[in-house]
Amino acid sequence: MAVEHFPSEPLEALLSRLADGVVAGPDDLMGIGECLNVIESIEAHESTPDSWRDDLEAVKRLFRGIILEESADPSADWEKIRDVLKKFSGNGRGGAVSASGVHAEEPPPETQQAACPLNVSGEEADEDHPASEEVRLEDAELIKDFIEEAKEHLASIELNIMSLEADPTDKEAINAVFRPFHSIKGVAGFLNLSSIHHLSHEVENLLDEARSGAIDVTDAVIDVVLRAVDILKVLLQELEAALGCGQATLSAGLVENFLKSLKAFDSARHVPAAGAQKRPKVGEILVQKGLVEPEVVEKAIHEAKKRGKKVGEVLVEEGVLSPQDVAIALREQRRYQENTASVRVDTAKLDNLVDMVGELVIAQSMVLQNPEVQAIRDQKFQKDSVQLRRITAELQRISMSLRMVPIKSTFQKLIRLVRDLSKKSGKDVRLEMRGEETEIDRNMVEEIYEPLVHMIRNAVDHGLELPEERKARGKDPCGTIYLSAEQKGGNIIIELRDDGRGLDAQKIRAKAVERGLIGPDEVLEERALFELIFHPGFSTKDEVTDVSGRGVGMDVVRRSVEELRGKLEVSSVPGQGTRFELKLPLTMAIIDGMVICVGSERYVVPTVALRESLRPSREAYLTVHGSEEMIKVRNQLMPLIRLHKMFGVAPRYTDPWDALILVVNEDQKSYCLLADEIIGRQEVVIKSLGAGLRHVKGLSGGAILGDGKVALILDVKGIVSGYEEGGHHGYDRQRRVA
Amino acid sequence: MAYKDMKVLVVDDFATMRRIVKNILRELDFKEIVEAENGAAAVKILESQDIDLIVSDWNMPKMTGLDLLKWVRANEKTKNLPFLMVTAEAQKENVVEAVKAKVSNYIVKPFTAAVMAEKLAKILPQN
Repeated sequence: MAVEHFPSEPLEALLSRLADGVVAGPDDLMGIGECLNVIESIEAHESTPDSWRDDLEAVKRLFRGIILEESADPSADWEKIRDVLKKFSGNGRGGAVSASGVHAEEPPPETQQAACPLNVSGEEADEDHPASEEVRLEDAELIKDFIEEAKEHLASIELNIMSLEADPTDKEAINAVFRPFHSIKGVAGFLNLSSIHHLSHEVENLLDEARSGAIDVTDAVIDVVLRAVDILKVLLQELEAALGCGQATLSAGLVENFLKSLKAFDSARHVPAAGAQKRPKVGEILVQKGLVEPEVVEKAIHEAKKRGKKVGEVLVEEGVLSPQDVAIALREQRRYQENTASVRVDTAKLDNLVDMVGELVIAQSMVLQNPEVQAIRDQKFQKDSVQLRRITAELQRISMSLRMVPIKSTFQKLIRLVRDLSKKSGKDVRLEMRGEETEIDRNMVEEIYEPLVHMIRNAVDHGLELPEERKARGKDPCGTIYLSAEQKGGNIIIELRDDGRGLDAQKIRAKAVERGLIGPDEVLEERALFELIFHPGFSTKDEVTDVSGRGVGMDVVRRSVEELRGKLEVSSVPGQGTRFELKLPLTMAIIDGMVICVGSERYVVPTVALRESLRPSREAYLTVHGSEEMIKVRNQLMPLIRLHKMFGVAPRYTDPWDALILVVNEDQKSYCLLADEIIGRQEVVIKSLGAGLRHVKGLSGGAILGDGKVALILDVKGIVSGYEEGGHHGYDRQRRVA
Repeated sequence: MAYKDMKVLVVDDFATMRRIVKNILRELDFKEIVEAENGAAAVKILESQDIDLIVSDWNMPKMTGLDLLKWVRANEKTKNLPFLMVTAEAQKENVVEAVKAKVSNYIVKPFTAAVMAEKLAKILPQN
């Protein structure tokens, strides 16, 4: 760049400028700068003889030494420079160097810089470093400011590293990550916070290499940076906690371990990308995590070879590590193997994505269903819109699948539970699992854990017999609980089965009568009797045992399943066991529904609840006691629920034989919902109704239909219970008490 | 001109660092200190105010210290202003670049008031 300053000057002019003594002395950096620029111009000049080059180079080197204060004897160097410059001036205009005495009186070389705290701390770090660093906090207010600002900068690092992850070559992003470390380092140097200084310094160096392109920003580099951020956060917290005391103890050990692993990282990062993805050794992971020193691992590897054991085992045996630490490292290693290329994403982001894709699908149908658009007869347009539809459908499918996780983790937690229960109850129990790889909506996987726990407790406590009893019945003394998951169509079926004594229909009946749930003379099928165990009044206190405990009955289990828009059913064979079937929708974001029309309003009825739809004959309509309306469908009487009354809309038809009825099942009973018209079956994206409408009975959400209008999603259970509670005098539209 | 009559512009994107530099300058009897958090902000101040000394960090977003220095030297109003570049040990290599761009002097972080005084003595000879 300096070369461009004097591109067309003749060599003589340059030489005379050089000789004119623009440099006042070794302290005159501006003069030196000018001089350097002239020298570079001379070097670049076409008529500069090659014989000068060495001298020019030497002058530059000497200047550089003076500038950087690396020169051992600046005055001597300065004399040398002057001699050389004189030589050049002899070639040019001649003898113009004003050899004023100023130069001879140059101050001795500065020593302050060499003694600056930075170097001192650098040396300290090479020695044995204490595990903690004692810091005297002199200017508390300044340190407080520093902590605040450093925290902000760390947050910005985390943000910027995301863009770096997206594009590792993004120079501006590297810079944005580099700068905060640089600033933190600078201030930490002033505040004598050597741990923080040292840590940020090393990361800064690493990033500087990335900045200059010497190394690539790999995942490993990003991990290092993030780990450094974490450690800095810890140190800042320690600093903050100690603000009042005037003395802080910082975990320098953390930094030391990190820096050690960073040194190891040095060699690792030069392996090509493919090699970088190979599975790391357990020892490496442990060192990287800062749990053990590399030397200890070395020794353990040696020991392990000798004894024919695994490194982790040796470390645990020698009491260096807890089994947990090793387990975590092993898990991490496995994860490496299974999935090297995965990204952790905030679930909120995923939900957002699914939402937006849902909106996209809706927006698409709004456009395509627009009459003006539908009037387009262009063949290419038709083809293209089919293509668009195909792509959005695929996009929707993929975005949905992003939220799916294997049910494995939930199942695995149950292994432990069964083992504990078995011990507690004195019953031998074996848990057999199948279909752990079945995927389920991320939001649901946690929700189903509690219900499963409860059902397993029940199975161990009430279902399985004691070993002696089982032996007496000719069964394996060890009871078995089968747990399986599979996907069937749009549903996930989770089956929980035991080979115990099964449900005793007579006992249930007796208890239900005792509780007043059914009349003593009521005739119920076996299935209906089993259903009684889900009744809120069924589970009772006098059944308290160590295992099931009290409080939560099967009614609660069923309710939580229904909250997930799922179904829970039970079947049992006496002496052979009980089987629970949990049917859950694949995702909670979408519902398969029938869009119906009541007056000017449209509603979505979840197809899970729907049995059939029909237009009844005039004869099928009956009233009981003059007020209760019933529809007779194939000799079965079903209560008629008028949706228009429930939601206060004016219907097109008030007589069922003009309108349509939808037969829905709830609690083993069937009801008829009165609607004007069925528009069609459709998958809709569920939107929450917001606080104001959340608790309105009979509604579970809203959906935006293809034409952009909103339809409410019916909650069949709420409608039915509203009908039952409201009796014949209208509908209870009060908010449900949570 | 005495230090106390000079108006100093401190440029650094890190507020704590500006404060540290300010504290040190005050120790040296400077009274009037203005701040800018990057080169671009510094340019605005330089255009609108009369500044006697610039103490600038090297590493800043948007406009680095070197960019600022080049702007200062290329601008008629500011081309002769004393410009002290604050740099880090690891980046001393860059100093040669700054020298070529006519930096008055540079100072390596972390520094004491004494070092600052010495550097200033070199670039503000009239004091």
